[in-house]
Amino acid sequence: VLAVNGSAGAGTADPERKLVLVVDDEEMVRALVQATLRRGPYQVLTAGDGAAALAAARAHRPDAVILDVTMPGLDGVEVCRGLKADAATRHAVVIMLTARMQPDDHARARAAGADDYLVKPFRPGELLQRLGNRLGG
Amino acid sequence: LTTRSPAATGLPLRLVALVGTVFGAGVIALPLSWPAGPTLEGLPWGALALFAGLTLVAEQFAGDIAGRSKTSVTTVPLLAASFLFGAPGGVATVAAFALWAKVRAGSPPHRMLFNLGMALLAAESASWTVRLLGPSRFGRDSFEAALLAGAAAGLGYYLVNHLLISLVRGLAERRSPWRIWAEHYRWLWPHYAVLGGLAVVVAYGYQAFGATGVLALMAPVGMMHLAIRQYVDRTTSSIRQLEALNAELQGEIAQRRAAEEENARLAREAARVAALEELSRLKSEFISIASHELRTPLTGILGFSELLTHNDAVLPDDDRQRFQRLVFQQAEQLAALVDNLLDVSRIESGRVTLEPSALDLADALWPILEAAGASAPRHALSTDLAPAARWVRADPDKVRQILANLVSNAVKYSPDGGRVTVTARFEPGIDGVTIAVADEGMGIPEEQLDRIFDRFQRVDAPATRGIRGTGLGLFIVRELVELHGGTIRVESTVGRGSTFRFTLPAAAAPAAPPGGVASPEAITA
Repeated sequence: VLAVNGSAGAGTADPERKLVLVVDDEEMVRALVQATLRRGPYQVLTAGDGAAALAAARAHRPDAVILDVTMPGLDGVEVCRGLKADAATRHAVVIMLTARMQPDDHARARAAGADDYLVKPFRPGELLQRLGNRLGG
Repeated sequence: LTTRSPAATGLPLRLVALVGTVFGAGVIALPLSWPAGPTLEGLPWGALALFAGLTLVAEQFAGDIAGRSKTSVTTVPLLAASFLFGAPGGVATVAAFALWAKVRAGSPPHRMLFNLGMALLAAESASWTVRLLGPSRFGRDSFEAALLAGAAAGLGYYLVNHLLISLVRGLAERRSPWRIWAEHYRWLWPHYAVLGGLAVVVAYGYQAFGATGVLALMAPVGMMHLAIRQYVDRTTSSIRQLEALNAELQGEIAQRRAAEEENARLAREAARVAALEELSRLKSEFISIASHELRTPLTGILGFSELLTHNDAVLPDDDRQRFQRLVFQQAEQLAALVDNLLDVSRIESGRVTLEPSALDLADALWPILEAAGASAPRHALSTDLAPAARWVRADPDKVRQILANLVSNAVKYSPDGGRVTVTARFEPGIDGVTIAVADEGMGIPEEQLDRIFDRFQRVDAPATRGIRGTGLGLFIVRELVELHGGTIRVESTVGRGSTFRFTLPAAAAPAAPPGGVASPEAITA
């Protein structure tokens, strides 16, 4: 299911506001990340699964991707690998979100090219701060 | 003489009495078979010595039959002397024999006395048999009659001898004398009949040719005995070998059996270790999944409450209300998950106890359908309980839990306006009441039907995404149904709906329905 929803103002190209793609199979988490990002200078796109995320990333070239690890179908690590393998999406900052906390998850995410890694439950302030750092303010 | 006498020490009183009686009877009966009264005058001392000597020689060559009894031709000279000279012949040979046996075996006196008395009685019975049945003298014209009488005398000797031996052994070994006779001596009677006949032949030989005749006849008798003995010895040793082989085989079988048991034990141990490893793997998987399932609602609660604490004007009222609602929903989800986890833990550690009572399914369903109807007002919920199948014997709380789970699943996985029906029936060939919860929802793919009752298994299909669930409900339902001794199964067609059927023990309806509740068939939501 391709579920790409532009947040308010996503459609209009606003160079001041960076475009962030939020990928999670849980609608509630998407809503939370979206609400969090609205507190910063961001436009938000969402996708409910891995395939939709890759399609949306290619179509819209987001500046950053907030990516859930545990999803049915393509999981977050595979999506991350796909993003980093594609010249069109390679530049996007990838922050992984996961409910798991096995040490090898972190290593897998790093190996796939993820830029940062947050464990659920995460603090919205923390997410904003990390994203801000990565996108260079 | 065939005898295996009891152990020498610690003789019971009854045994002593028997020995005394046998010896006394043997001595007292002596004059009865003394042809010319008890006198030693005119006795053929040379002939008596010959027969006594032959008795001792024959005893030297006695054979052992498989450790059960002894055979010898001792009886031949002994009986021949009795036939020829009556009591003096018997006394002479018997006394010689008994004395010899004592010297040779170092037998204790009581054993010698018993043997002497027994042999006297046996010899006396033989000479009396011949005197009663046989001819007055061993003449040429009376050979057949003498032969028959000799055979009968041999049998008489056998009877007296083995009767007494069995009796005395029975007393000494505290076993039934009949058993001992059957085990050791039963099959010896033809042997003694033949020996009796041979004794007659030897007696004839003495009358015709004197000592030469006796020796000439005793030689082939002895040879035959030796030939038979050899055969018997070989047979005995074959039997012994077979017995040894048998014992060896038995030992091997026992060893093999022990090895097999050891193998089985090791296999059981390995299976136990494998089961423990599997359990440990399941536990860590359970913890990993449980922690994932706990983290998701926690993420919502923490995240949205943090967003709500920012007291800024940016947050529109709509969002504020939405966030508050989401926090509440996630907290509810978390509470349900914790409840389910506790239930699973109780079930797995066997700490769930049932308090069964007669329960009206209509009463149990009422609040469940009311709550489901309130949260899903556009669903059509109905019940159809057969009057006879309304009552079950079960734990009311657990039944409510089962029904609430199945009804909420049915509502959750079917579209607005979908029908959810709960029925109770007796089905042919099935014990107890069959309760069915049917919906017209999305259904379950066939390949997933087997797994849906396992822990943390949720139907994985695009349509179920976005529907929250812990993946524990159906596991708990199945365990609770099985605790009641029931079974649960599911039939489903994708796109058409699912029907969960489970059984509970039936209960008789009480005479008067309690409280006069509204007819359960009227419950609809």
